[in-house]
Amino acid sequence: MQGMMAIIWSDVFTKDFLGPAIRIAVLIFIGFPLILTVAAFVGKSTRKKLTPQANMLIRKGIVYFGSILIFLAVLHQSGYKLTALLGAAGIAGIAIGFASQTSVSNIISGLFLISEKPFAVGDVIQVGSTKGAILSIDLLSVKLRTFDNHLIRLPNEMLIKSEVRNITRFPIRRLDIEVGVAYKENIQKVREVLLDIADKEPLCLDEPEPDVRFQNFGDSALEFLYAIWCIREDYLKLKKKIMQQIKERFDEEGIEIPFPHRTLYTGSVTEPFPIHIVEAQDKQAPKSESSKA
Amino acid sequence: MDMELWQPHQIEQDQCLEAQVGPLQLWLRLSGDEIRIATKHRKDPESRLKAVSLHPAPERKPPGLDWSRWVCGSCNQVLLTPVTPDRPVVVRPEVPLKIPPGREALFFFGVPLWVRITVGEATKVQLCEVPSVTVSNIWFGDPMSGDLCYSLRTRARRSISDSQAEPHRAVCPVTIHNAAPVQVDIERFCIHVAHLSIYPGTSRLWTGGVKITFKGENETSQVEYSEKPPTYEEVDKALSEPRIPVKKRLLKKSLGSFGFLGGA
Repeated sequence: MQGMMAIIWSDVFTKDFLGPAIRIAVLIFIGFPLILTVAAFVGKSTRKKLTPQANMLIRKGIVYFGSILIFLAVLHQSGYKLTALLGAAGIAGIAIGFASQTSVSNIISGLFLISEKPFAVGDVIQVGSTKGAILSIDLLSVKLRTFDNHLIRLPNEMLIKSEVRNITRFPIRRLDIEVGVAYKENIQKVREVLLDIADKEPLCLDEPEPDVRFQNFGDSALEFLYAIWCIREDYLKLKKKIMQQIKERFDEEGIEIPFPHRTLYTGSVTEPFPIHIVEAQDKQAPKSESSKA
Repeated sequence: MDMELWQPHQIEQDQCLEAQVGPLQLWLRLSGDEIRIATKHRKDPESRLKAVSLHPAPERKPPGLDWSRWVCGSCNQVLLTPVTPDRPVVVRPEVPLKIPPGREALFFFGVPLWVRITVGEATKVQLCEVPSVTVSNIWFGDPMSGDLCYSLRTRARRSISDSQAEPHRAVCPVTIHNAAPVQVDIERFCIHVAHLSIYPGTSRLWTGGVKITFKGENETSQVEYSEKPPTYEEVDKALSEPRIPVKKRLLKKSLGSFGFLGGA
């Protein structure tokens, strides 16, 4: 009985279709779960050491590479000639390479972005005129959510080539406000009022110190740069509050924020401008008078 | 020092209690299963020295207040506790001074207190913490890294005897030792008050002492937060424990005008 079983058993394994079939089944049903387990294990052990994007890349890399290996092994077990397949793949690769230049460029740019870390998920960045918070950093692109709640997809290749401004990289930010006051105003008084506003505002940091710089003799006003610091989370709140406080305080102190001025001259020798005075009470014909402008 | 302010008080249904801790005025009202709290910061200079423990307010519903409400079931006991601020503080000496190598200087400064409000008898429920003064923010470090701290308007003095005891401040003794080979300019220093306990003294509140050992401009200073009560006055058992217990000596850059912050 035992001898018969041994004969049948060895007979089964020499059969052309059963042997490879069992090996293929082993490759599929043990190989794939093994790859997934290895990927999960590597992902878990590198989670704290790497960024989420790098971690995702490594896990996906293990899964894709392992899957390709299993696929090739299954093909080999099935009796296909891999040399022919590789030859065809080489030709197809050239064609695919031409067609997917942009995608490959995006993938490689994504790898550089992940290793360079100029920004992370949650940062607010500006690329050209596009500004938004980063939702995800993927292989091909970066997704932004704008402040008016649009989704913007930026190809990684574009980010590598462009100037990217990371607005929230550092913990504190400076708020610059251009303030213009009338020429008649006292510069020292304006400076003191602006510094007092910053001193009384809890969101404004005492250090780095607020600064008021007299920048320019403008066309219509004395131009100041009012620079105050805050933590990045308070930036918008501070901007809203401080603009209102400047206006209110200037009104209280009688400091004029002028409208644009233009002075009219009639020429090198100024002739009087004609002025018509119209009385509101009696609607008579307007009186004409000449007066210097 | 009157400790009545920091003792538990009973509050009856629909009763409104009020208290004052320096410039901070507090009102608490029990209404059903809700505790309602309102606060106000007074601006008059006389209020700095005033401490009034919880007592029935003249009006059941004082007008013009912004009330916050908590649902806390049946709790008829209220406790006010003085605690340290929830961030480090940056303080400047009265006048800038220099410490030669090998020497040390002792400073005293008033830490503004936060008042923690808890209710309940057997099980204490913490409702909120209210700062006794309005403080402004300051960044201690450089524009790329650092700590968000509170900036104190009061100055660090060399002697405590000439300053009045304020109920909303606890005095913190700070010793700065210059272990570097060069002199150090003391313009400001940063203290992580979360590591300090609050003790009631005979005339004022105290915190534990702090010792900063300066080792050089580019070195991190060694900071020691004392777990023992100060010895400048007779003090009682601590009113509140540190927010963050100190397990080991900290290495931090606590001095300088725009220093880098390093260490733990």
